This record gives sequence, C-alpha cells and structure tokens, in this order.
Amino acid sequence: MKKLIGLFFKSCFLFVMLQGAAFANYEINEAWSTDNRSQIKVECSSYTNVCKQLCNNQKVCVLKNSTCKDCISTGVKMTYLFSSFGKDLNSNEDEVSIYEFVDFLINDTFIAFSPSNIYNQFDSAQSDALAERFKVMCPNKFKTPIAFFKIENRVLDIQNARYVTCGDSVYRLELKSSLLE
Amino acid sequence: MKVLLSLIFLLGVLPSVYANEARLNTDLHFTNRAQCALDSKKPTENILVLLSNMDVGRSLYRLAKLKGERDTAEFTKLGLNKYRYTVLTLLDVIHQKIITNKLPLLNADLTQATNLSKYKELSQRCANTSKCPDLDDYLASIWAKSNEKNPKFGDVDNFTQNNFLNLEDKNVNKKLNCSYMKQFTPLEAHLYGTKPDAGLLEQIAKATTEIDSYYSECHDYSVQESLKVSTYEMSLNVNNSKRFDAVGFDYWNTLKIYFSWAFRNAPEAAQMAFPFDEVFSSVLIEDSLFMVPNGCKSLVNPKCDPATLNQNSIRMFAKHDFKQEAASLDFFRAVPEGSANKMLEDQFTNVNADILNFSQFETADAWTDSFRQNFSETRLTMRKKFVNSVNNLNLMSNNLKTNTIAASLNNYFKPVISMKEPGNIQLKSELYYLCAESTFLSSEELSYIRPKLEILGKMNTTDLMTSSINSKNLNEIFDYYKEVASSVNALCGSFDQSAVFDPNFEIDRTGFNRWYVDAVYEGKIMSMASLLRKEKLQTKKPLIAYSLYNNSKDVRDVICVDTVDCARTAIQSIVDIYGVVQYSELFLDIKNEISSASMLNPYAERTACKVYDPWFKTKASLFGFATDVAQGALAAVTPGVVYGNFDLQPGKVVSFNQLVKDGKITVDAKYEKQKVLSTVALDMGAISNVPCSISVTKSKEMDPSKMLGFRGVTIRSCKANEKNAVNVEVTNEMGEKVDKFKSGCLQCSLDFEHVSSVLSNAIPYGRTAFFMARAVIRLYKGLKDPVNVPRSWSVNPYLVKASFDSNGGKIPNDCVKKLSSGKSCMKNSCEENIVNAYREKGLYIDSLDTEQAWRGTAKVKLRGCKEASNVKVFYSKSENDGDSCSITAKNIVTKCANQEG
Repeated sequence: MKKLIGLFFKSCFLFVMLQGAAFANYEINEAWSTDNRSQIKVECSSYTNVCKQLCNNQKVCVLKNSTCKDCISTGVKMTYLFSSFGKDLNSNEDEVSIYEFVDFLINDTFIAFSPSNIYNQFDSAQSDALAERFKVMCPNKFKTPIAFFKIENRVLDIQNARYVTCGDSVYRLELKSSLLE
Repeated sequence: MKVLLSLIFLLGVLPSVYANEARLNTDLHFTNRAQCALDSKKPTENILVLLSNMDVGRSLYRLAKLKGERDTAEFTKLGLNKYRYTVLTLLDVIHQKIITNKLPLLNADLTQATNLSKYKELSQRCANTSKCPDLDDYLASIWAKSNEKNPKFGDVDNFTQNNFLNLEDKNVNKKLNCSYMKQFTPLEAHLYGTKPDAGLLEQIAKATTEIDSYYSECHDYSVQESLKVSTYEMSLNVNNSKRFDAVGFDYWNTLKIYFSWAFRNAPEAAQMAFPFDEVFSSVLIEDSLFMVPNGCKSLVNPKCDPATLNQNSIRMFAKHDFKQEAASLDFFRAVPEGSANKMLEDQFTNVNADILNFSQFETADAWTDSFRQNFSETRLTMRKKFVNSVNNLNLMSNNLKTNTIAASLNNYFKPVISMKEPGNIQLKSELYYLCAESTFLSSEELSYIRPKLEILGKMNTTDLMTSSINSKNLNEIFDYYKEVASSVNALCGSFDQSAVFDPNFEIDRTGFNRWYVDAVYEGKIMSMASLLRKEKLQTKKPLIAYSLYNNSKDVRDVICVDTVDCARTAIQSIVDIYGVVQYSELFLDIKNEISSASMLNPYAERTACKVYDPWFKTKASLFGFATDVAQGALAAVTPGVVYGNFDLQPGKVVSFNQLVKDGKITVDAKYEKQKVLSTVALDMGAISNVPCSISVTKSKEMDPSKMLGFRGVTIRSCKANEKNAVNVEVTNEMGEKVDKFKSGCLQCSLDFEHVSSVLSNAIPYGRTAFFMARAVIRLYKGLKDPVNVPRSWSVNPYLVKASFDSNGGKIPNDCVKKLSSGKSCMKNSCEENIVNAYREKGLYIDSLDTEQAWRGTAKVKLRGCKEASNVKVFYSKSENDGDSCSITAKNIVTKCANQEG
C-alpha cells in the first residue's frame, strides 16, 4: 500500500513537472519601462522558485538589461555580430542548469539580443530572416530565443557570448561555426 | 505619458522670433581657386552640420513596436526630435564652455610641442581604438571641473592660460549661431562662384528678403519634416580674431572630442536626452554626424596623409549622379588605386562651382539625405565585405590546412596535368583560372598590388577590427593566404603550361572572378564565376559551408565548394580586404572621430600634398613680367630696371616689396636706385588694389600722334629721338589719361579693375613695344586670372539687401566693389549712416525712409516689427557732400513702434 501511495505521489509530482514543462516554468522576455529603460522580465509559474531565487519574488523579476557602447550602429562589430547568429554563434547542445543562468543574471552585467530588439539595424522590422537564424541556435526549436552577452562594466563593451534562452531551456552560447559535417 | 507631454511642450515652444538674424549678418566669403587653396590652412568659423537620423530612427521605431505604442510614427518622430535637440544643445553647451574659458583646448596637432603631456600620452596610446577608458576618465575629470565656478585644471594636466581660447575681444558674441537650412539659395553663393557681380548681389538681396523661408531657428522642429536627416549651419562670431586663427583647429578638435565623450557619458547629455538617454548613449554618433566646413577653410588642418585623403574623398558621395557614376569610382573597383591616385589624376579640379551639386536638390535635407544614403549604403557594403572576407579566411584556416591543399589540388588536376584527359576543357579552364588569378597576385612583374598586400600584412590599424570580430588578426590571415598562394603557385609551376594550355585551347574569360576581370580586362567582360560556382553546387556537397545550407540551399551559406574554389575564395577574400583597407579611414569605424572632411575644398589635400601651389601663378606672372621687361629694356637703347634673381621657392610667399628689400631686384647702375625703387609699388600681400607703377626714364616728351587707346590702358611711344622707348600709361577709361605718370618714357601702370582682355589682341608697334606690352598684358592677365592668383571678396547679405532696397530694387554697378568688400552702399550718406549705426548695435532695418531727414526725422522699421518708428536725425548740408544726416546712439530706437519701453 505504502508503495502504491508512494507511486501515486511520484506520479502526481511527475505530472506537475510535465505540466510545468508543457506550459513553461518561467518565461524570459525583453521589456521596456515607461522611461525607456531596457529590462529583462522573468515570469515564473508557481512550479518553480527561479524568481524567488532571482529577486525574492515568487512571480516576476525585472532585471536591468545593460546598454552597450556603439551598439546602435552598423559598425564592424555589430555587422559581424548580427551576421554570425546561427552561423558562427551557436549554442552548445547541452542544456545548462537554470541556477547557473540565474547566477549569471544576478552577478554579471549583461545585454540581451533578439531579432526584434533595438540593436538590429540590419534587416527591416518586417523581415524574419534574422529570426530564422536565431531559431537555429535553439536545439529545442524554440521560436523566439534571446542571446545573452557579458558586458564589460567600464566601457560597456560586449565581451563574451554566454547563454541563449530557448523558452524555459537555457543553453551555453559559443563562438562556434556550425558547419556542414 | 507625462514625460512625453512635457517633452512635446518643450520641443514645441523653442522657436525664436529673432531667428536668422545671425545668418543675415554673416559675411559670405567668396574666393577664387588660389585663395581657396590658401584658406584651407585656416580654421573655419562656419560649418554645415549634417545629422543622419537613420540608425537611431530604426531603433526608436523598434522600441515603439516593443513597447506597444499606439502611434509608432508619432513616438519615433518625438524621439528623433529629442535626438536632434540633444545633439544641437550639447554642441552649444560645449562651445559655451570653451568660449568662456571653462573648458581648456586640447591640441589638434600632437606632432608639435605641447605642455599637455598626459593628454599627449593618452591620445597616442589610444590612437586607432574606439575604446579608451583612461582617456574617458581624463575627459570626465576636466568636464566635472568645468562646472565649477572657478575651475582649476592643474591636477589633471599641465594646463596654462595659453590652453584656453582667450579671444582678444571680450565683447565678442559668445553664441554659437545655429540655423536649420531649408534650401540652398544665393545665401550660399560663395559655394557656387567666385567674384560677385551686380546680378549675383541682386539675387543675394532677394534671398535675404525671404530669409525666413530658407532658414529657421535650429530648435524649430516643426519645420524639420525629414525623419531621415537634418541640415544645419553653425557659425561663430570671432570677428577676424588672430587668436582664433592661431588656435581655431584646437577649438574644433576640442569641440569634437568633448562631444563624442559627453554624448555618451555626460550627465547633462542624459538630462537633455531623457527619456531616450539610454537609447541615445548606445548610438555610434560618429557614424551619423558630419561637420563640414562651409567654404574653403578647414575644421582640421589638412595633412598629406592617407587618412586625410581618404576622409576627403567622402565628397564623391554628395554628387547627384553618384549612383550612375558609382561603377567608375575607385571605391567600387575590385582593386582600388587609392585616393592619392585620384588626386594626382585631377590636379586642377573645380572648386566653388557647386562641386557638391547642391543646386540639383529641391531642399537642403534632400541633398543631405542623398549624401547619407550613398555614403552609408556604401559603407555598410564595405563593412560587410570586410567582415565576410576576414570570416572566410578565418574559417578556411581553421578547416582547411595548407598542407592538404597542395595534395588535394594535385590530385584534382592530375587528369589534365598528366595529359591523360587533354580534352577535359572544363578542368583545364579551372586550372587556368586558378593559376592566372594566383599568379596575378603573386608575381612581382605582373602584380602592382603585391607590394601593397605585403604592407597590409604589417598593418596594425585593422588588428582591432579583426579582433573585434573574434578572429585571427590580419597578419595571421595574410600568412594563411600566403601559404595557400604558395601551394597554388607550386602547382602552377609544376607542369609544362605550353603543353597543357596548347595553342588550340581557348579560355572562356567570363569564368574569371570579378576582381580579376576588373583588374586585367578593365571590367569590359562580364564575370560569370558565381554562376559556375552555383552549377558546381548542383552536383557537389560544399567543402566548407554553414549547416544552414542543408535547408536554405543559399549560396551565401557556402564558404567554398571544393579545394580549387577554396583557393580562389582565399585569393578573392584577400583582394576584398585590401580594397576596403585602402579606404579604411572612410569605411571602417577604427577610431570614433566625428567626420569633418573638407568637402567643399578639394584643394585642401592638393595644397597639403603640394600638388597645387596657390602662389605659383603669382610668382610665375612676376617672373614672366620681369623677363619681358628686361627683354624690352635690352632691346631698346635705354636700359631699364632689370629684374632678376628671383627666389621662387615653391610654397614660399614672396612679396614684391620684400624682393626689393632683399636686393633681389637688380637695378641698372646708371639710375639712382632709390628713385627707381620708390616707384615700384607692388606688394603681393595686398595685390587686389595695388597697381604696378614703374618709372625709369625722365623724358617728358611724348608723341601724341602715337597714342593707342584701350579701355584701361594707354600705351604711347616717346618722340622720335627716343623711339626705342615706350611709355605705357594707365587710364581708368578710354582716353582718360592719368597725369601723374606723364613724366616717364618707359612706364607701366595698371589699374587691375579696368584693364580689359582686348589688350592681348591689340599689340602696339615696335619690338620693344611688343615686349613691354606683352609684359604688361601677361602681368595683368596673370594677376587677373580669376583662378590661379589668390583673390577674395566679402559680402554681407544684410548690407546687400539694404543697398538693394535703398537703390529702388537693384544693385547699381558702382556699388559692386563696395558691397564686395563687405561695405554698405546706400543711395545717400544719410541712409548709410543710419544703417551702419543700427548694425553696430546689432539691429537690422527692414525699411528706411529719409525723405523727411531735412526736418530732422527718419522712419525706421526694424526687422520683426510691424510698423516703422520715427527717429531723430541730425541733418546737414555741405557743398561737397550734398545733403546728409547722422544719428547718435541715444536716438536709435531699439523697440518696435507699437511696443512699450
């Protein structure tokens, strides 16, 4: 009986976990304040304590998304960056723990890039060419990934590619050309 | 919402009633080619500011979308106006700090000695980099001190009083005058032509009458309709300051450096930009802001170096037919020659002849937008080309080791090299293309770009670029290319080419890559190489391609198809890198510096590089004159003054008086030196009004029957007993003699304004006369040459308009000279006195009525007023000057008639 009860609770836990996976435990999006400050908004379902860990709030955390020097431009660096998503910038197929990512969000200055954000100077707002290449970075084929880079604090320079969020999965982002085998 | 409403209010109330007054009173400085060349070495006081809103506009539009703004267009427009406001206000704030000696000057030329040792060290350390936190800190500490009441900068660097602008005139108007330009009109006539005439002055007068239709106050955003660009004119009132002439380049350098820093970092800029401050601080502002000297003077002292030449070649993008001409421009050549070549090919290019095609555009913003589009599209193409080429070589070097290339190529071409398949034309052709393209680049005899490529490998300015795109530096990439090329060349040298490419083999030249066709066949053949590559991909899996290719089948996802293609792509990539690096200062954002090219003066770089010497023609004219006079004198019995031993060093200005002082002019011993030289009155320092006047002999006897009259010059011979002598006299008009020169028999005197070119067709008789006349004509023509002898004119638009109104809606011919020297020319001295008295007080008159001056009153309607005011004048009548009047300072009415106080 005990075993049966144990099995029942295990099943319930798995069900909850699976539900969580199906409806996402947390959602990460870019947001803007009324006075045009860039933010990263993490919304958590009741099945996760990610938000609790991140900002001591059960449901939602709003984090500062840094600015970066000369990022609104078609300079060489941004030209390279936006041409390399999905080509020379790719995710490592191994998913990283959400706690590692939370640790990064708490302790590092970062900037997030997505095809629709203000730094995309390279294709029109209506084009989905970049969105298609962004999708390549998600092994789980998530449609709207966000790429996170570390920012050097003093000159606000983009440094290392760090993570890409694909729904509620996070992958390490690397400078690694994805070439035909 | 509150924030936006207050912003709308702020941006809506800024326009000033007194807009354009500064513009009205800003002199137009007309110059000919030689003067324009000389002016390039002086700092400008007047600039055009071209602001592109495209990068920030795109971001604001995306921001509106992301925020779910109801009216994205309105939000974007509001943000753009805030952007304009921030840029313009920040420029003004920095100017105010400099002109009030609150911000020290930073030396523009650090090759000269400077007491700012820390600044010099930081600038040198930070050269060729866009990131320099130490320099940022240095600027930040000065900026913070500049806000103090009595700032002391000693602990930042070794600043002394000499490091501040310290203009001599303490009462100088400290404003940075700023106008938004709606159209290019005759008020920019100094960019369209040289010497003003009555017709042009009338056009300037008419444009001045309608000045408010052509300019508006800078912060009046309601009239700035283009969302893409805005065009402004800014000027300083430095009143011909010698101090500004000396430190003007430092002033502009300081303004630009602080602007770049403050736009990103200053709290004042954040306040101005709020609530868009975070967005704006990420803008690469140097890509969007262009400062252009409005005329021949410069913002940066022109140097003869590749950076100056490349930056100045930006003017090509302003041409109205840029797109049609693009194919022939050097930037777009597969293997560009470089900007120095273009300059040497076109030494005597046009200037002050609407060289930037302003007149082809309906509005100033349309011109700026065309320039912006041409330039930024080309710049992006070049940046993409650079990034792709570096990336291609980087990927190849990681995935295709050079030691495997040789073996793979040998294997691939074995059938044709070993003559097993002599009929395999396709393979033979591929081998031919590869060997030809590689040999072209590598053979010293054939390649003119090889030495340049070697230099490129040693360059370090682009290392920053290549490391910024996370790849190997340019030297490593070039080393990889050299290994690829040596493998290919080893292959090409390993077989008997005359046997493989037998006389019956005919190569299809369309198979060469575009760069090769361009370099060897001057682009006369169409390259089909990319098509052949696509065909190959039909049957082959690419050797190096992004995995995206699996689904996209897009050739852009392919680096190279096979080893041959990889080798050819490596060569193509190094050629592309070379092409972009030739113009790196123009296209690559190596250094964050606001562009301030001498767009309107192509002689800036020509003078700096000594391709054009503005004094050459003057010196050559003098030399010719001297020679001819000497010949004339020698041919005649009477020897005259013999000129010789001129020290005509290029680039050295020689004054005629100085030549006399220095003893360079040799005088025949027969004549008293002092008497002769006292009649030599030609000073090249003030050439425009000084006639040549040479008197040698003392004969008083003239032969009236031999008088030859021409407009401006009279040439007469002496009486029979002195028939070999010639007397050249000058008259102002036909037959009107100038008595004071009657005493000489060998005499030359010129009034440059009146001598006509008919002289050259009317040579007087006699060999001596011929020489003398030729000398005179040559000197006159040489000096009169509107292009090659420095000449300048200054026109004040307000005074021209006042003269136009005063003279019944026209500019009389006898006013041209006065108005072209920046003076007034009213119909009578009464009006002259009133206009000048008001102008001295900074007041401008719209209309003036002196009919009742004899009663002691005149009617004056000030600019901006609806009605005229009666002012008290002092009437006087004298026999010489006729009726006149004057006005004292206390009688000047400064307010409109219907206004209190």
